[in-house]
Amino acid sequence: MTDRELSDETILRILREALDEEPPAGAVAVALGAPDLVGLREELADLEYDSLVDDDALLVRSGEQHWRSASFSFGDVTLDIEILDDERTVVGLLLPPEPAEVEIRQFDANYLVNTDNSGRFRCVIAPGPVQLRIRRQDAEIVTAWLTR
Amino acid sequence: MPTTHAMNEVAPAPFAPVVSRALDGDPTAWPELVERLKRPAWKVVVSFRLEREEANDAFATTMLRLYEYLGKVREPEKLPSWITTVARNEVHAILRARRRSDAVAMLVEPGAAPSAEDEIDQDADLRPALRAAFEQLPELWQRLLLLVMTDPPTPYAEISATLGIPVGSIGPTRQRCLEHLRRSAALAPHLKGTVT
Repeated sequence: MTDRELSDETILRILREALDEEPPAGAVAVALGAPDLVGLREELADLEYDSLVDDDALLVRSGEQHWRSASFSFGDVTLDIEILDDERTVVGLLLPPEPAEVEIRQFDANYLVNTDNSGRFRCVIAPGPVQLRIRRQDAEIVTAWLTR
Repeated sequence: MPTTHAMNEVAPAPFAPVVSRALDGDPTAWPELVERLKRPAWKVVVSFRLEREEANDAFATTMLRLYEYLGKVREPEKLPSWITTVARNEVHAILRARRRSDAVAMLVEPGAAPSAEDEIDQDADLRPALRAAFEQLPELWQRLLLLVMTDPPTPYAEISATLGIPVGSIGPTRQRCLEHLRRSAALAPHLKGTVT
């Protein structure tokens, strides 16, 4: 039906249209995995502040802010995190401070760190979206997935 | 008025029942939502000039956000427009993380890129074939093709810096990629001999 000759330019044009039309299979597979990646919605902490939403994304220019910061609350507990771009580092503070295991999840890797006596933690991660799971003595706090 | 809607006069199925089923734990409901919302989300993501991995991440987190907020959706029929807003936010997060001060200039105005629907019908069966052939290419070749396909074209010096390959090998590699696509099993049935 389409028995035809294709110039380089035509191939590139149709390929561009093809790739713009559908997300890649790998990205759709991640989306389909949401029930496992997100976990139980009831455990999700409330997002109180997000630099992405609460600051004007289009007005913040290079030199003013280079990281994503967010605050979550879960009952009486608050969790502040910053994702530093240069160092690929997640820095967090759990208040009130308590011993907890922090699992930092990415699509391809998980990292485990512990809070210190002041509720602080720090971890170097790979590029890409992250989710934090804070395992406290009697409950778990789960954050939304954040792009970094 | 988008031409696609003129072709399809059947009203789209409502989202509310699917959302309810998803919240009730029906395992078929979430894939259905992904299927129905993946294209509007992706359309926003590709309207920005992102690296392939970044585009995939922006798309994936957009869909994860949908899942996270599913229980708070008040107007399910507005999900297609909601998902485009979320996708735009996720793209902005990535652009800001890259500290690209020209983030705004990176936006390709919606509608500026040639739309698949506007093309003549003979390309319709070629697009899936080319997409399949492309997915078979080595990762580096895929990234190179994505860079040479941008409008306006990415300067070779920038491609060289991004991919870490010599400027002099970009042209020949581009040709090898195109030859590979032409000879691929997915595309072969659609072509009449090799064009040089």
